[in-house]
Amino acid sequence: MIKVQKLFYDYGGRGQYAVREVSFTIGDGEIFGFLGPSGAGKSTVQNLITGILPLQQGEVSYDGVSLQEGGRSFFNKIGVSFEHPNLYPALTGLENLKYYRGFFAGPTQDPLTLMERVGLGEAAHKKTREYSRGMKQRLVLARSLLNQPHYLFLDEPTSGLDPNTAEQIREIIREKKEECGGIFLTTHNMHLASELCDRVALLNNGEIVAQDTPRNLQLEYGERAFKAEYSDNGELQEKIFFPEREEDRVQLKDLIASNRIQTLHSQEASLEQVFIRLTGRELT
Amino acid sequence: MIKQIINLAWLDLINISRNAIFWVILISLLVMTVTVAFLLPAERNIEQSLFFLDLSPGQQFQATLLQGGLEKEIFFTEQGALEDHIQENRGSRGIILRGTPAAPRLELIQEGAVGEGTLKILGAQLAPLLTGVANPAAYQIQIIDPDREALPLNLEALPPLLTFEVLALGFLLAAVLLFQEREEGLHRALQVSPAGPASYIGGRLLVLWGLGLISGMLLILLTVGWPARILEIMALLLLGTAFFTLLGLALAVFFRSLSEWFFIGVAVLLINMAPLLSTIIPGFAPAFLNLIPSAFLMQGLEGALFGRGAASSITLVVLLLINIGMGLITWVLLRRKIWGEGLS
Repeated sequence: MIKVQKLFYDYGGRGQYAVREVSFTIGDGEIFGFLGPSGAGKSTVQNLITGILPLQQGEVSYDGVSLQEGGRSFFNKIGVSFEHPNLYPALTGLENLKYYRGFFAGPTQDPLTLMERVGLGEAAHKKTREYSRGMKQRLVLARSLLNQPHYLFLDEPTSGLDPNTAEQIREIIREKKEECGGIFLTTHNMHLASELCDRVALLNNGEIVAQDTPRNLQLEYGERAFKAEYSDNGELQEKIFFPEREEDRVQLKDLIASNRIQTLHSQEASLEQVFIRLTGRELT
Repeated sequence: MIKQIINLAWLDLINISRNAIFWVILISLLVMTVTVAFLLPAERNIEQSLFFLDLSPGQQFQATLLQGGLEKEIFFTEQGALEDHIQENRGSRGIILRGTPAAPRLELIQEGAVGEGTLKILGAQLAPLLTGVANPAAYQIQIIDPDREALPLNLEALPPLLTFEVLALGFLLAAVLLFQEREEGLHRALQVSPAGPASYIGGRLLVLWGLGLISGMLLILLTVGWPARILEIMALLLLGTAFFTLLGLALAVFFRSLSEWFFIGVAVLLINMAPLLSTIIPGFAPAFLNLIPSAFLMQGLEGALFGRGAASSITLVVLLLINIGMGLITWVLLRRKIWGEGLS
């Protein structure tokens, strides 16, 4: 379990906090989504909880052990995948993994098997400067899994990927969820967060404005309503029905009985709408 | 940590071998080796820079100079031919001799202006020759260190070239690799790996030590053969490469790219190359040059290779201390500027 308590961070030391009173926990086998627009403080929080930045205020612990007690060997337990792929361009994909693997002290996975798992088996001996953006992204994800990490930090893992590859990546993340002590996922992609995350935190100006399961947030901040599209004398009509109102309930019941409904959708808010409602600004 | 260092060294070696700048440096070193071993003359041919025309009655001066051992080919019979020769051969001088041995008159022919000091030295050199004192029987040579062999001219170039070699390999390649990593965002990947700045420095030193030692020893073996004080020479090469690698890394962390680094980097490179100037221009040897680490290295190499200059043991100790200090500075800078100060 990852426990983060009351994190504050001030880059300039002048009282202008990039991160303020950020607290959350990530349970074993849980995917925790961290959502927020650019500049909200997501990277600072990730850098603090992965030990890149020194803690100024607050506490970070992994399975009850303070982050500061681990030293650099702490990095044997975590895997980090970056949004912007960072690879040695003159080295092949396999070489990139092979040499990165050599940094770790514990057991590691076979690089070629990992490359095959992310669909890069055939490109293993190609230099990464010849890889497409999507291939690089997958290789960076594979690199983050080399040391069989107990905690995984993923930054926009499906950004810029085609739908098939993105689905492959989502599948790998779901698999890892079962094996990991926690996955910290940073993304702008609301669909990804809704689909994968057990809980999400919405970050704005360095502060968490809400955190819960995606469903609870959507229900709490959305409207209880249904939007129906139906035909009326050959023309397509659209109407929102509120189940709290007796009149709407009767009307919807009649519409269903008349068999004229073409589409019917519940009107819970998307995470994007929840964020806008809470902060007045968009996520992207 | 040792596993990480070896791993990083392999990584650097593969990366370097696929980098165009490495091949440029390697080819330059090869050219220098060939130049020292085969192209540079073993002796400075002073006579070939002076040419004479004797217009004295009976050509008495020419007879004296020939008797003194000068070659017949450096004497001309016509002034026009002498002037043409001086114009065609850059750096050469012509002397027209007139008068008698009791009252000689000299006329100097050369391209461009000449300093008063040079004129006085030239006059002092020629006067005994013209009056017949140049006869070997007329002068004596006292050798202070009879065991020391005369050093061939081409080998005099060896210590500065070896210094330049470790300078180029360490300083330039360390910086080039760091900028490549920075450009690709690779430091982010290193930040979240168990490899810290100490392993990073160790890996880079290991690979550049290997390259510095192999190329340096090749240069030595191809020119002077197997040196008697090989261990000292190897230690000097290792310490020299280490210093310039650390300096290259310490400076590069302040810049985001090779183009940003260029002016400052080249300035530091030139400062470290300044002691090499004193070997090319013997008259240029201001005291401050001795404070530049490359001067220590050059003097140490000269001592270990040819038994000259400062005692190499002192040079080794000084270089070791400089390296320890530089290593600490580089570690602190890498930690602050690249790794972040969290767990590094």
